[in-house]
Amino acid sequence: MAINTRKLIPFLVGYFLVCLLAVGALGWYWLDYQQAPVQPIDFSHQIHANKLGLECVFCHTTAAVSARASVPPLQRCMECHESAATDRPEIVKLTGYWKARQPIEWVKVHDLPWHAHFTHKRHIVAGVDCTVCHGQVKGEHRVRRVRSLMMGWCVDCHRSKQVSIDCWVCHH
Amino acid sequence: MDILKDMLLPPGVEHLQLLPVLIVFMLWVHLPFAGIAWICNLLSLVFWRRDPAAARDLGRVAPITWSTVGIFVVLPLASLLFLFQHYLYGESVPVGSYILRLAPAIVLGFLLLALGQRRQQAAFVAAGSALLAGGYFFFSSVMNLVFTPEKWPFISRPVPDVFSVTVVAHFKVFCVLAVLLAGAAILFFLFRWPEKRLPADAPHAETFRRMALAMVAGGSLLLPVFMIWELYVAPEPALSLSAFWLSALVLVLLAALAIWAVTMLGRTALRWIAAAFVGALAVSGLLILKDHSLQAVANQEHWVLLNESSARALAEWQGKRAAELAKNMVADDKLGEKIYNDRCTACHRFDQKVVGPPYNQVLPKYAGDAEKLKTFLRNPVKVDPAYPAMPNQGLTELEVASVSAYLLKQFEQGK
Repeated sequence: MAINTRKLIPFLVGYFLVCLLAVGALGWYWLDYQQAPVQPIDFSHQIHANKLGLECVFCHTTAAVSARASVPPLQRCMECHESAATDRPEIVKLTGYWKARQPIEWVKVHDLPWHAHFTHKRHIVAGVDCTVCHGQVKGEHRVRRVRSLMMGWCVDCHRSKQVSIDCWVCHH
Repeated sequence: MDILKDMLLPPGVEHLQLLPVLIVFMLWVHLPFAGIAWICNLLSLVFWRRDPAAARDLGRVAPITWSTVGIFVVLPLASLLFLFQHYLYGESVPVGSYILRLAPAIVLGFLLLALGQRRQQAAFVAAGSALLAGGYFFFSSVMNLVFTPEKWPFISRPVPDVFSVTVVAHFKVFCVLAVLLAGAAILFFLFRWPEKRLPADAPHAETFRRMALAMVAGGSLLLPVFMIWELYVAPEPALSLSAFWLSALVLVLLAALAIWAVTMLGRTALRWIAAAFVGALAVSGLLILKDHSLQAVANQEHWVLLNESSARALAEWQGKRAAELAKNMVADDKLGEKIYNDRCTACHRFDQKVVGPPYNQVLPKYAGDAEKLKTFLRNPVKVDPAYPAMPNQGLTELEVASVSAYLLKQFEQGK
Protein backbone atom coordinates (compact mmCIF):
# COMPACT_ATOMS: atom_id res chain seq x y z
CA MET A 1 0.00 0.00 0.00
CA ALA A 2 1.43 3.34 -1.02
CA ILE A 3 1.60 6.13 1.54
CA ASN A 4 1.97 9.82 0.82
CA THR A 5 5.51 10.74 1.84
CA ARG A 6 5.80 13.92 -0.23
CA LYS A 7 4.84 16.04 2.77
CA LEU A 8 8.08 14.97 4.45
CA ILE A 9 10.33 16.38 1.73
CA PRO A 10 10.35 20.03 2.97
CA PHE A 11 11.34 18.76 6.44
CA LEU A 12 14.15 16.71 4.92
CA VAL A 13 15.40 19.70 2.93
CA GLY A 14 15.28 21.82 6.09
CA TYR A 15 17.15 19.15 8.09
CA PHE A 16 19.98 18.93 5.56
CA LEU A 17 20.19 22.72 5.30
CA VAL A 18 20.66 22.87 9.08
CA CYS A 19 23.40 20.20 8.79
CA LEU A 20 25.08 22.17 6.00
CA LEU A 21 24.94 25.28 8.19
CA ALA A 22 26.54 23.31 11.04
CA VAL A 23 29.39 22.13 8.79
CA GLY A 24 29.77 25.69 7.46
CA ALA A 25 29.87 27.07 11.02
CA LEU A 26 32.54 24.53 12.06
CA GLY A 27 34.53 25.39 8.93
CA TRP A 28 34.23 29.12 9.63
CA TYR A 29 35.32 28.64 13.24
CA TRP A 30 38.32 26.60 12.14
CA LEU A 31 39.23 29.05 9.37
CA ASP A 32 38.97 32.04 11.68
CA TYR A 33 40.83 30.64 14.68
CA GLN A 34 43.04 27.77 13.58
CA GLN A 35 44.53 28.52 10.17
CA ALA A 36 48.07 29.76 9.91
CA PRO A 37 47.77 33.50 10.63
CA VAL A 38 48.82 36.04 8.03
CA GLN A 39 51.91 37.83 9.32
CA PRO A 40 52.83 41.49 8.63
CA ILE A 41 55.81 40.20 6.59
CA ASP A 42 55.59 36.97 4.61
CA PHE A 43 58.62 35.49 6.35
CA SER A 44 59.56 32.01 5.16
CA HIS A 45 61.01 29.52 7.66
CA GLN A 46 61.44 27.19 4.69
CA ILE A 47 64.05 29.50 3.13
CA HIS A 48 65.84 30.55 6.32
CA ALA A 49 65.79 27.33 8.37
CA ASN A 50 65.75 24.78 5.58
CA LYS A 51 67.45 26.23 2.51
CA LEU A 52 69.97 28.40 4.35
CA GLY A 53 70.27 26.00 7.30
CA LEU A 54 70.03 28.61 10.06
CA GLU A 55 69.61 27.14 13.53
CA CYS A 56 66.43 28.05 15.44
CA VAL A 57 68.45 29.90 18.10
CA PHE A 58 70.18 32.00 15.42
CA CYS A 59 67.03 34.15 15.40
CA HIS A 60 65.17 33.01 18.56
CA THR A 61 68.21 33.83 20.64
CA THR A 62 66.77 33.49 24.15
CA ALA A 63 65.06 30.10 23.69
CA ALA A 64 67.84 28.19 25.45
CA VAL A 65 68.43 30.69 28.24
CA SER A 66 65.03 32.01 29.27
CA ALA A 67 61.36 31.16 29.54
CA ARG A 68 60.52 32.82 26.26
CA ALA A 69 62.00 32.00 22.88
CA SER A 70 61.64 35.65 21.72
CA VAL A 71 61.22 36.94 18.20
CA PRO A 72 64.42 38.39 16.74
CA PRO A 73 65.00 42.13 16.84
CA LEU A 74 64.93 43.89 13.45
CA GLN A 75 68.65 44.38 13.75
CA ARG A 76 69.18 40.61 13.42
CA CYS A 77 67.24 40.56 10.13
CA MET A 78 69.12 43.58 8.81
CA GLU A 79 72.52 42.02 9.49
CA CYS A 80 71.96 40.02 6.32
CA HIS A 81 69.24 41.94 4.52
CA GLU A 82 71.08 45.21 4.41
CA SER A 83 72.80 43.65 1.42
CA ALA A 84 70.98 40.37 0.64
CA ALA A 85 67.86 40.18 -1.56
CA THR A 86 67.18 43.88 -1.02
CA ASP A 87 64.97 44.18 -4.10
CA ARG A 88 62.37 41.61 -2.97
CA PRO A 89 59.02 43.17 -1.95
CA GLU A 90 58.99 41.61 1.55
CA ILE A 91 62.56 42.81 2.19
CA VAL A 92 61.57 46.30 1.02
CA LYS A 93 58.78 46.13 3.61
CA LEU A 94 61.28 44.96 6.23
CA THR A 95 63.65 47.80 5.38
CA GLY A 96 60.71 50.18 5.71
CA TYR A 97 60.12 49.04 9.31
CA TRP A 98 63.86 49.38 10.00
CA LYS A 99 64.11 52.89 8.63
CA ALA A 100 60.94 53.99 10.45
CA ARG A 101 62.35 52.48 13.69
CA GLN A 102 59.08 50.61 14.05
CA PRO A 103 58.82 47.07 15.48
CA ILE A 104 57.05 44.38 13.44
CA GLU A 105 53.85 43.21 15.11
CA TRP A 106 54.12 39.45 14.50
CA VAL A 107 51.02 37.36 15.22
CA LYS A 108 51.74 34.75 17.92
CA VAL A 109 51.06 31.23 16.62
CA HIS A 110 51.95 29.04 19.60
CA ASP A 111 50.00 30.73 22.35
CA LEU A 112 49.30 29.06 25.69
CA PRO A 113 46.61 30.16 28.16
CA TRP A 114 47.76 32.49 30.96
CA HIS A 115 47.38 29.79 33.62
CA ALA A 116 49.88 27.44 31.97
CA HIS A 117 53.48 28.32 32.78
CA PHE A 118 55.88 27.02 30.14
CA THR A 119 59.61 27.68 30.05
CA HIS A 120 61.63 27.09 26.89
CA LYS A 121 64.92 26.91 28.77
CA ARG A 122 63.86 24.00 31.00
CA HIS A 123 62.71 21.94 28.00
CA ILE A 124 65.73 22.68 25.82
CA VAL A 125 68.14 21.92 28.66
CA ALA A 126 66.33 18.57 29.11
CA GLY A 127 67.05 17.80 25.46
CA VAL A 128 63.55 18.31 24.03
CA ASP A 129 63.97 19.23 20.39
CA CYS A 130 62.11 22.32 19.09
CA THR A 131 60.26 20.10 16.58
CA VAL A 132 58.55 18.13 19.38
CA CYS A 133 56.20 21.06 20.07
CA HIS A 134 56.58 23.18 16.93
CA GLY A 135 56.81 20.45 14.27
CA GLN A 136 59.02 20.69 11.20
CA VAL A 137 58.81 24.49 11.01
CA LYS A 138 61.62 24.48 8.46
CA GLY A 139 59.28 22.75 6.00
CA GLU A 140 56.53 25.35 6.29
CA HIS A 141 56.38 28.59 4.41
CA ARG A 142 53.82 30.10 6.76
CA VAL A 143 53.99 28.67 10.28
CA ARG A 144 50.87 27.08 11.77
CA ARG A 145 50.18 25.08 14.90
CA VAL A 146 50.75 21.38 14.27
CA ARG A 147 50.28 20.19 17.85
CA SER A 148 47.13 20.54 19.92
CA LEU A 149 49.16 21.93 22.88
CA MET A 150 46.40 20.54 25.10
CA MET A 151 47.08 19.52 28.71
CA GLY A 152 46.57 15.80 27.96
CA TRP A 153 49.34 15.92 25.38
CA CYS A 154 51.78 17.68 27.74
CA VAL A 155 50.96 15.15 30.48
CA ASP A 156 51.49 12.21 28.07
CA CYS A 157 54.95 13.55 27.24
CA HIS A 158 55.81 14.20 30.92
CA ARG A 159 54.69 10.66 31.80
CA SER A 160 56.70 9.07 28.98
CA LYS A 161 59.84 10.92 30.11
CA GLN A 162 59.09 10.26 33.80
CA VAL A 163 58.89 13.95 34.61
CA SER A 164 56.64 15.25 37.40
CA ILE A 165 52.99 15.67 36.50
CA ASP A 166 52.12 17.59 39.66
CA CYS A 167 49.67 20.42 38.93
CA TRP A 168 51.99 23.07 40.31
CA VAL A 169 54.71 22.19 37.77
CA CYS A 170 52.79 24.11 35.10
CA HIS A 171 50.07 25.94 37.06
CA HIS A 172 51.58 28.28 39.62
CA MET B 1 57.67 -4.47 13.74
CA ASP B 2 61.26 -4.80 12.60
CA ILE B 3 60.57 -7.46 9.96
CA LEU B 4 58.21 -5.04 8.16
CA LYS B 5 60.73 -2.21 8.35
CA ASP B 6 63.46 -4.41 6.92
CA MET B 7 61.27 -5.40 3.98
CA LEU B 8 60.78 -1.82 2.75
CA LEU B 9 63.03 0.68 1.05
CA PRO B 10 62.54 4.40 1.76
CA PRO B 11 59.94 5.83 -0.64
CA GLY B 12 61.06 8.13 -3.47
CA VAL B 13 59.43 11.48 -4.33
CA GLU B 14 57.21 9.85 -7.00
CA HIS B 15 56.16 7.10 -4.58
CA LEU B 16 55.13 9.70 -2.06
CA GLN B 17 52.70 11.19 -4.58
CA LEU B 18 51.27 7.80 -5.52
CA LEU B 19 50.89 6.34 -2.02
CA PRO B 20 47.84 8.39 -0.88
CA VAL B 21 46.00 7.58 -4.13
CA LEU B 22 46.59 3.85 -3.62
CA ILE B 23 45.57 4.02 0.05
CA VAL B 24 42.29 5.79 -0.79
CA PHE B 25 41.61 3.29 -3.59
CA MET B 26 42.28 0.24 -1.41
CA LEU B 27 40.10 1.57 1.41
CA TRP B 28 37.34 2.22 -1.13
CA VAL B 29 37.64 -1.34 -2.45
CA HIS B 30 37.51 -2.82 1.05
CA LEU B 31 35.23 -0.78 3.30
CA PRO B 32 31.99 -0.71 1.23
CA PHE B 33 32.13 -4.48 0.68
CA ALA B 34 32.93 -5.09 4.35
CA GLY B 35 30.09 -2.82 5.50
CA ILE B 36 27.52 -4.39 3.15
CA ALA B 37 28.52 -7.98 4.01
CA TRP B 38 28.57 -7.27 7.74
CA ILE B 39 25.16 -5.55 7.92
CA CYS B 40 23.43 -8.00 5.51
CA ASN B 41 24.64 -10.95 7.59
CA LEU B 42 23.56 -9.26 10.82
CA LEU B 43 20.12 -8.69 9.27
CA SER B 44 19.95 -12.29 8.10
CA LEU B 45 20.12 -13.33 11.78
CA VAL B 46 16.83 -11.45 12.35
CA PHE B 47 15.12 -13.55 9.62
CA TRP B 48 17.00 -16.78 10.40
CA ARG B 49 14.22 -18.69 12.25
CA ARG B 50 10.99 -17.26 10.90
CA ASP B 51 11.98 -16.98 7.22
CA PRO B 52 15.12 -18.95 6.23
CA ALA B 53 14.66 -18.08 2.53
CA ALA B 54 14.84 -14.39 3.36
CA ALA B 55 17.98 -14.97 5.43
CA ARG B 56 19.58 -16.81 2.48
CA ASP B 57 18.62 -13.99 0.11
CA LEU B 58 20.31 -11.43 2.37
CA GLY B 59 23.43 -13.60 2.32
CA ARG B 60 23.38 -13.39 -1.51
CA VAL B 61 23.67 -9.56 -1.52
CA ALA B 62 27.40 -9.65 -0.78
CA PRO B 63 28.34 -13.32 -1.24
CA ILE B 64 31.38 -14.34 0.75
CA THR B 65 33.38 -16.70 -1.47
CA TRP B 66 37.10 -17.37 -1.89
CA SER B 67 37.23 -14.85 -4.74
CA THR B 68 35.29 -12.03 -2.98
CA VAL B 69 37.27 -12.51 0.23
CA GLY B 70 40.47 -12.48 -1.84
CA ILE B 71 39.61 -9.38 -3.90
CA PHE B 72 37.72 -7.27 -1.36
CA VAL B 73 39.35 -8.33 1.93
CA VAL B 74 42.75 -10.05 1.75
CA LEU B 75 44.21 -8.06 -1.16
CA PRO B 76 43.21 -4.59 0.18
CA LEU B 77 44.27 -5.39 3.77
CA ALA B 78 47.64 -6.77 2.64
CA SER B 79 48.13 -3.75 0.36
CA LEU B 80 47.12 -1.31 3.12
CA LEU B 81 49.62 -2.90 5.47
CA PHE B 82 52.52 -2.19 3.10
CA LEU B 83 51.13 1.13 1.85
CA PHE B 84 50.79 2.54 5.38
CA GLN B 85 54.17 1.14 6.32
CA HIS B 86 55.62 3.04 3.35
CA TYR B 87 53.47 6.15 3.96
CA LEU B 88 54.75 6.39 7.54
CA TYR B 89 58.30 5.26 6.75
CA GLY B 90 60.79 6.11 9.47
CA GLU B 91 58.12 6.95 12.08
CA SER B 92 57.72 5.00 15.30
CA VAL B 93 53.94 4.63 14.89
CA PRO B 94 53.15 0.90 14.44
CA VAL B 95 50.20 1.25 12.02
CA GLY B 96 51.53 -1.60 9.84
CA SER B 97 51.87 -3.89 12.86
CA TYR B 98 48.37 -3.05 14.04
CA ILE B 99 46.91 -3.88 10.62
CA LEU B 100 48.97 -7.09 10.60
CA ARG B 101 47.40 -8.09 13.93
CA LEU B 102 43.88 -7.03 12.95
CA ALA B 103 43.80 -8.55 9.46
CA PRO B 104 43.62 -12.23 10.62
CA ALA B 105 40.68 -11.39 12.93
CA ILE B 106 38.84 -9.61 10.10
CA VAL B 107 39.54 -12.42 7.59
CA LEU B 108 38.44 -14.99 10.20
CA GLY B 109 35.22 -12.99 10.70
CA PHE B 110 34.47 -13.20 6.97
CA LEU B 111 35.29 -16.92 6.88
CA LEU B 112 32.89 -17.54 9.79
CA LEU B 113 30.18 -15.64 7.91
CA ALA B 114 30.85 -17.77 4.81
CA LEU B 115 30.76 -20.97 6.88
CA GLY B 116 27.54 -19.91 8.58
CA GLN B 117 25.84 -19.14 5.27
CA ARG B 118 27.02 -22.37 3.66
CA ARG B 119 26.12 -24.68 6.56
CA GLN B 120 23.12 -22.64 7.62
CA GLN B 121 24.51 -22.19 11.14
CA ALA B 122 23.36 -18.97 12.80
CA ALA B 123 26.03 -19.31 15.51
CA PHE B 124 28.83 -18.96 12.95
CA VAL B 125 27.17 -15.92 11.40
CA ALA B 126 26.72 -14.33 14.85
CA ALA B 127 30.34 -15.07 15.81
CA GLY B 128 31.62 -13.72 12.46
CA SER B 129 29.53 -10.54 12.81
CA ALA B 130 30.76 -9.96 16.37
CA LEU B 131 34.37 -10.49 15.28
CA LEU B 132 33.92 -8.02 12.42
CA ALA B 133 32.34 -5.43 14.76
CA GLY B 134 35.35 -5.66 17.07
CA GLY B 135 37.79 -5.77 14.16
CA TYR B 136 36.41 -2.60 12.56
CA PHE B 137 36.29 -0.79 15.89
CA PHE B 138 40.04 -1.36 16.19
CA PHE B 139 40.47 -0.57 12.48
CA SER B 140 38.77 2.82 13.07
CA SER B 141 41.23 3.41 15.87
CA VAL B 142 44.19 2.64 13.58
CA MET B 143 42.89 5.01 10.87
CA ASN B 144 42.34 7.63 13.57
CA LEU B 145 45.91 7.18 14.76
CA VAL B 146 47.27 8.11 11.32
CA PHE B 147 45.91 11.66 11.63
CA THR B 148 46.99 12.22 15.25
CA PRO B 149 50.80 12.22 14.93
CA GLU B 150 51.25 13.95 18.27
CA LYS B 151 50.22 10.66 19.96
CA TRP B 152 52.84 8.61 18.12
CA PRO B 153 55.75 9.09 20.55
CA PHE B 154 53.64 7.86 23.48
CA ILE B 155 52.35 4.57 22.05
CA SER B 156 53.37 1.67 24.24
CA ARG B 157 50.53 -0.86 23.96
CA PRO B 158 50.49 -3.73 21.43
CA VAL B 159 46.90 -2.83 20.43
CA PRO B 160 45.60 0.58 19.31
CA ASP B 161 43.85 2.82 21.83
CA VAL B 162 40.04 2.60 21.54
CA PHE B 163 39.11 4.72 24.57
CA SER B 164 38.90 7.96 22.68
CA VAL B 165 35.94 10.08 21.64
CA THR B 166 37.39 10.51 18.13
CA VAL B 167 37.63 6.72 17.69
CA VAL B 168 34.01 6.24 18.80
CA ALA B 169 32.86 8.98 16.39
CA HIS B 170 34.86 7.41 13.56
CA PHE B 171 33.42 3.95 14.23
CA LYS B 172 29.85 5.27 14.38
CA VAL B 173 30.30 6.92 10.99
CA PHE B 174 31.45 3.55 9.65
CA CYS B 175 28.45 1.71 11.18
CA VAL B 176 25.84 4.14 9.85
CA LEU B 177 27.54 4.22 6.45
CA ALA B 178 27.45 0.40 6.42
CA VAL B 179 23.68 0.47 7.07
CA LEU B 180 23.16 3.00 4.27
CA LEU B 181 25.32 1.00 1.84
CA ALA B 182 23.65 -2.29 2.79
CA GLY B 183 20.20 -0.79 2.17
CA ALA B 184 21.25 0.51 -1.25
CA ALA B 185 22.95 -2.82 -2.06
CA ILE B 186 19.84 -4.87 -1.10
CA LEU B 187 17.75 -2.72 -3.45
CA PHE B 188 20.32 -2.86 -6.24
CA PHE B 189 21.15 -6.57 -6.14
CA LEU B 190 17.76 -8.03 -5.17
CA PHE B 191 15.53 -5.68 -7.20
CA ARG B 192 17.68 -4.60 -10.14
CA TRP B 193 20.62 -6.96 -10.84
CA PRO B 194 19.33 -9.57 -13.34
CA GLU B 195 21.18 -12.59 -11.90
CA LYS B 196 20.21 -12.06 -8.27
CA ARG B 197 16.81 -10.46 -8.70
CA LEU B 198 14.08 -11.70 -6.35
CA PRO B 199 11.14 -13.37 -8.09
CA ALA B 200 8.11 -11.08 -8.28
CA ASP B 201 6.10 -13.43 -6.06
CA ALA B 202 8.76 -13.77 -3.32
CA PRO B 203 6.88 -13.44 -0.02
CA HIS B 204 9.53 -11.25 1.60
CA ALA B 205 10.04 -8.91 -1.38
CA GLU B 206 7.82 -6.14 0.01
CA THR B 207 9.41 -6.46 3.48
CA PHE B 208 12.88 -6.17 1.93
CA ARG B 209 11.84 -3.21 -0.19
CA ARG B 210 10.56 -1.25 2.79
CA MET B 211 13.38 -2.32 5.08
CA ALA B 212 16.08 -1.37 2.54
CA LEU B 213 14.44 2.00 1.78
CA ALA B 214 14.16 2.67 5.52
CA MET B 215 17.86 1.78 5.89
CA VAL B 216 18.82 4.23 3.13
CA ALA B 217 16.60 6.97 4.57
CA GLY B 218 17.65 6.31 8.18
CA GLY B 219 21.33 6.04 7.27
CA SER B 220 21.17 9.28 5.26
CA LEU B 221 19.50 11.08 8.16
CA LEU B 222 21.78 9.74 10.89
CA LEU B 223 25.10 9.96 9.06
CA PRO B 224 25.25 13.82 9.12
CA VAL B 225 24.92 13.80 12.92
CA PHE B 226 27.92 11.50 13.41
CA MET B 227 29.85 13.15 10.59
CA ILE B 228 29.47 16.58 12.21
CA TRP B 229 30.38 15.07 15.57
CA GLU B 230 33.48 13.54 13.99
CA LEU B 231 34.45 16.92 12.48
CA TYR B 232 33.86 18.61 15.85
CA VAL B 233 36.18 16.25 17.74
CA ALA B 234 38.80 15.86 14.97
CA PRO B 235 42.25 17.15 16.02
CA GLU B 236 42.47 20.79 14.97
CA PRO B 237 45.95 20.56 13.42
CA ALA B 238 44.59 17.88 11.02
CA LEU B 239 41.66 19.92 9.71
CA SER B 240 41.72 21.74 6.41
CA LEU B 241 39.21 23.48 4.18
CA SER B 242 38.99 20.43 1.93
CA ALA B 243 37.64 18.36 4.87
CA PHE B 244 34.76 20.82 5.22
CA TRP B 245 34.08 21.00 1.48
CA LEU B 246 34.04 17.20 1.20
CA SER B 247 31.66 17.00 4.18
CA ALA B 248 29.35 19.53 2.51
CA LEU B 249 29.42 17.46 -0.69
CA VAL B 250 28.55 14.33 1.30
CA LEU B 251 25.59 16.19 2.85
CA VAL B 252 24.27 17.13 -0.61
CA LEU B 253 24.48 13.49 -1.73
CA LEU B 254 22.86 12.28 1.49
CA ALA B 255 20.02 14.77 1.05
CA ALA B 256 19.40 13.41 -2.47
CA LEU B 257 19.48 9.82 -1.17
CA ALA B 258 17.14 10.59 1.74
CA ILE B 259 14.62 12.37 -0.53
CA TRP B 260 14.81 9.49 -3.02
CA ALA B 261 14.28 6.83 -0.33
CA VAL B 262 11.37 8.68 1.30
CA THR B 263 9.74 9.27 -2.10
CA MET B 264 10.14 5.59 -3.03
CA LEU B 265 8.60 4.55 0.30
CA GLY B 266 5.45 6.31 -0.86
CA ARG B 267 5.35 4.49 -4.21
CA THR B 268 4.87 0.89 -5.22
CA ALA B 269 7.35 0.85 -8.17
CA LEU B 270 11.06 1.40 -7.57
CA ARG B 271 13.02 3.74 -9.84
CA TRP B 272 16.59 5.06 -9.96
CA ILE B 273 17.90 2.14 -7.91
CA ALA B 274 21.28 1.96 -9.72
CA ALA B 275 21.81 5.71 -9.31
CA ALA B 276 21.07 5.44 -5.58
CA PHE B 277 23.58 2.60 -5.20
CA VAL B 278 26.23 4.60 -7.07
CA GLY B 279 25.35 7.59 -4.85
CA ALA B 280 25.86 5.50 -1.70
CA LEU B 281 29.22 4.27 -3.02
CA ALA B 282 30.14 7.89 -3.83
CA VAL B 283 29.31 8.87 -0.23
CA SER B 284 31.69 6.19 1.05
CA GLY B 285 34.39 7.36 -1.39
CA LEU B 286 34.01 10.99 -0.31
CA LEU B 287 34.18 10.06 3.39
CA ILE B 288 37.38 8.10 2.74
CA LEU B 289 38.76 11.12 0.85
CA LYS B 290 37.82 13.35 3.79
CA ASP B 291 39.73 11.06 6.16
CA HIS B 292 42.63 11.17 3.75
CA SER B 293 42.59 14.99 3.76
CA LEU B 294 42.89 14.88 7.58
CA GLN B 295 45.79 12.43 7.31
CA ALA B 296 47.53 14.50 4.63
CA VAL B 297 47.37 17.72 6.67
CA ALA B 298 48.35 16.02 9.93
CA ASN B 299 51.32 14.29 8.30
CA GLN B 300 52.74 17.32 6.47
CA GLU B 301 55.84 17.50 8.66
CA HIS B 302 56.50 13.78 8.34
CA TRP B 303 56.31 14.23 4.56
CA VAL B 304 58.73 17.13 4.66
CA LEU B 305 61.29 14.83 6.29
CA LEU B 306 60.60 11.99 3.84
CA ASN B 307 60.83 14.33 0.84
CA GLU B 308 64.06 15.76 2.20
CA SER B 309 65.65 12.36 2.72
CA SER B 310 64.67 11.11 -0.74
CA ALA B 311 65.80 14.38 -2.38
CA ARG B 312 69.10 14.14 -0.46
CA ALA B 313 69.66 10.57 -1.64
CA LEU B 314 68.93 11.64 -5.24
CA ALA B 315 71.27 14.66 -5.00
CA GLU B 316 74.07 12.46 -3.64
CA TRP B 317 73.66 10.02 -6.51
CA GLN B 318 73.53 12.83 -9.08
CA GLY B 319 76.61 14.45 -7.47
CA LYS B 320 78.63 11.25 -7.74
CA ARG B 321 77.61 10.75 -11.35
CA ALA B 322 78.33 14.37 -12.27
CA ALA B 323 81.74 14.17 -10.60
CA GLU B 324 82.65 11.16 -12.72
CA LEU B 325 81.55 12.98 -15.88
CA ALA B 326 83.39 16.14 -14.92
CA LYS B 327 86.83 14.61 -14.48
CA ASN B 328 87.94 15.63 -17.98
CA MET B 329 85.95 18.85 -18.26
CA VAL B 330 87.90 21.96 -19.42
CA ALA B 331 87.12 25.11 -17.44
CA ASP B 332 85.93 28.20 -19.33
CA ASP B 333 87.58 31.32 -17.90
CA LYS B 334 85.01 33.79 -19.29
CA LEU B 335 82.12 31.72 -18.00
CA GLY B 336 83.80 31.54 -14.58
CA GLU B 337 84.14 35.34 -14.48
CA LYS B 338 80.52 35.83 -15.52
CA ILE B 339 79.21 33.49 -12.78
CA TYR B 340 81.46 35.20 -10.26
CA ASN B 341 80.07 38.64 -11.17
CA ASP B 342 76.45 37.53 -11.53
CA ARG B 343 76.11 35.33 -8.45
CA CYS B 344 79.08 35.15 -6.11
CA THR B 345 79.48 38.89 -5.57
CA ALA B 346 75.97 39.13 -4.09
CA CYS B 347 77.35 37.60 -0.88
CA HIS B 348 81.17 37.42 -1.19
CA ARG B 349 84.16 39.73 -1.71
CA PHE B 350 87.81 38.71 -1.62
CA ASP B 351 88.83 41.05 1.17
CA GLN B 352 85.67 41.85 3.13
CA LYS B 353 82.75 40.13 4.87
CA VAL B 354 79.36 40.67 3.17
CA VAL B 355 76.74 37.96 3.83
CA GLY B 356 79.25 35.16 3.48
CA PRO B 357 82.91 35.07 4.56
CA PRO B 358 85.66 36.87 2.56
CA TYR B 359 87.33 34.65 -0.05
CA ASN B 360 90.79 35.40 1.28
CA GLN B 361 89.70 33.71 4.50
CA VAL B 362 88.16 30.55 3.02
CA LEU B 363 90.00 29.90 -0.25
CA PRO B 364 93.43 28.98 1.26
CA LYS B 365 92.10 25.57 2.26
CA TYR B 366 91.12 24.87 -1.38
CA ALA B 367 94.43 26.07 -2.90
CA GLY B 368 95.82 23.25 -5.02
CA ASP B 369 92.68 21.15 -4.49
CA ALA B 370 90.11 22.29 -7.08
CA GLU B 371 88.15 19.04 -6.65
CA LYS B 372 87.41 19.86 -3.01
CA LEU B 373 86.10 23.31 -4.02
CA LYS B 374 84.00 21.77 -6.80
CA THR B 375 82.48 19.29 -4.34
CA PHE B 376 81.51 22.17 -2.05
CA LEU B 377 80.02 24.21 -4.91
CA ARG B 378 77.94 21.26 -6.10
CA ASN B 379 76.39 20.75 -2.68
CA PRO B 380 77.22 23.62 -0.26
CA VAL B 381 76.96 22.84 3.45
CA LYS B 382 77.22 25.06 6.50
CA VAL B 383 80.87 25.28 7.58
CA ASP B 384 81.31 28.32 9.81
CA PRO B 385 78.51 28.80 12.42
CA ALA B 386 79.10 32.55 12.27
CA TYR B 387 77.69 32.66 8.72
CA PRO B 388 74.45 31.35 7.22
CA ALA B 389 74.78 28.28 4.98
CA MET B 390 75.37 29.03 1.29
CA PRO B 391 72.32 28.18 -0.83
CA ASN B 392 72.81 25.63 -3.60
CA GLN B 393 73.29 27.59 -6.83
CA GLY B 394 72.20 24.74 -9.09
CA LEU B 395 75.32 25.08 -11.28
CA THR B 396 76.05 22.72 -14.16
CA GLU B 397 79.30 20.76 -14.12
CA LEU B 398 80.89 23.13 -16.65
CA GLU B 399 79.85 26.12 -14.51
CA VAL B 400 81.24 24.49 -11.34
CA ALA B 401 84.55 23.73 -13.06
CA SER B 402 84.76 27.25 -14.58
CA VAL B 403 83.92 29.25 -11.46
CA SER B 404 86.16 27.16 -9.18
CA ALA B 405 89.08 27.59 -11.61
CA TYR B 406 88.38 31.35 -11.84
CA LEU B 407 88.20 31.78 -8.05
CA LEU B 408 91.42 29.86 -7.40
CA LYS B 409 93.22 31.76 -10.19
CA GLN B 410 92.10 35.14 -8.80
CA PHE B 411 93.13 34.09 -5.32
CA GLU B 412 96.62 33.01 -6.48
CA GLN B 413 97.10 36.27 -8.44
CA GLY B 414 95.98 38.41 -5.49
CA LYS B 415 98.40 36.81 -3.00
